[in-house]
Amino acid sequence: MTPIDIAAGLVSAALALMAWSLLYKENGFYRLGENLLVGGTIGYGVVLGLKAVWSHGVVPAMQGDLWLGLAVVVGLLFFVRFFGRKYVWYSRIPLAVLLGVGFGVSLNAMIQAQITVQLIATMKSLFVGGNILETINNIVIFVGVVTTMFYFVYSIEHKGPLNTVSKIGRYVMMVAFGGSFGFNLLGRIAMLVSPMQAVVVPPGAYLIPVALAIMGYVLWRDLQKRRAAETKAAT
Amino acid sequence: MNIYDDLNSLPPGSVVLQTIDIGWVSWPELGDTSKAIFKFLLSKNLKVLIVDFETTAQGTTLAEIMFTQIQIPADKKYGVDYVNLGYIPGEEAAIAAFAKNIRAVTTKDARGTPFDQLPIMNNVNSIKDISFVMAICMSAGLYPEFYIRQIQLQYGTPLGAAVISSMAPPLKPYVDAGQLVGLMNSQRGGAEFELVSGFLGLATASMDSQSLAHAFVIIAVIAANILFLGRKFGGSKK
Repeated sequence: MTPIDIAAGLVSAALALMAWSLLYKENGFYRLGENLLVGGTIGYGVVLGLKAVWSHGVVPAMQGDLWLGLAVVVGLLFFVRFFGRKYVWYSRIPLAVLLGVGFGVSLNAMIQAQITVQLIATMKSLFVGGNILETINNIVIFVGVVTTMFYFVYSIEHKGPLNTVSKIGRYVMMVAFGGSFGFNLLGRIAMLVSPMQAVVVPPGAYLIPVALAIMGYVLWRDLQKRRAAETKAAT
Repeated sequence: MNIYDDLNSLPPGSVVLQTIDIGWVSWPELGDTSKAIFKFLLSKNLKVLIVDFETTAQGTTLAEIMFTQIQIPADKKYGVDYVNLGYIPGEEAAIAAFAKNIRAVTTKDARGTPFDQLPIMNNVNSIKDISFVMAICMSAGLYPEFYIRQIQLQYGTPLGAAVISSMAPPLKPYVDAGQLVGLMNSQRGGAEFELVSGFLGLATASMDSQSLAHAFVIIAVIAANILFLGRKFGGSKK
């Protein structure tokens, strides 16, 4: 293990412990870790963003690709608003280009990929001969789609049998949200387990006694403070 | 697992695009998955192009970290068997342009080496020269859909996705519709891939603690419900 690996392991474990210290209460270590993450991420993003503009825009423009040069100039118009209110409207030009290109590139494909193909995939034969599981699956999809969509139909009052249909739609959505919550939980646990691997093995593990000592001191100090407050209140 | 089967059936020398559209925050969920896929692709003698379209641009650095964290076989050379094309700004528009003509959006790798000095790029000009796209994404729903719209739909290139857990349920309909070959869900997906590919790693090792944590949550949910029902029907006013 090189000195860089050791330093990286220690920093990684220290940052994880700083983040977890919030479980006790808001404290300086947590804020330090939080600020390091936010500051580091923004700094990194700015540098990478500038590098990308330089290598993909400025350099090709200097080499004669004037279209890319024009794109850089249009992009810079975003910042003209800082020179005064009367120039604010210039920043609408890159915004309009950005939105126009975004819509142009995605809209057609979006209709096909996310509406047409999805509709076709939903229109399945309810009964599949010789395959009971797929039959059940297709019926569940059909009932789920129809009842959930009906839940959002507000032009008819949901009374009597229609209320039952609407209720089934609501239950289908609740099952879907429950599934989503379960998946979210899986991810959050992964978020815990992975940094834990940096903490429980050396060199990160060497920080555990340090963290325990700090935690013990903070608990003892808070206890003293509480006792002092209680004594003061009693007198 | 469909992704494994598709990748396993590719002839040696085929080019696979592995996107790393993730940042530091999602690396714990998808880092092991990225490593398992990359190791498997190299072991199958496939050529791997790594690229990052995600706006935080952290995937390009994470790819370099990944190269140092795994043992790349001595016969696999950077620029010949794998390459990090770096961060390409422009999101969906950039993906569309990349698919049409890679050299229209970038002519250098992440380390600044021009394509003409990278043998792996000799016969790769557009998405038509790529046999499979493995999208590893963190942004809620966006990036797999970008690839579906601009690559799978337009060119029919097989597309697999590995995503963070919160993104997996909304993407399931794309698997059912055949737009995604398969979907790998967070660290669990990584563990499954490690298992089928034979490259056991930290994702598999994490599954015991994952299972234990889930068991704890299930017990807590059951206990809370018993408590709730007990109070409801037991007549307690609290």
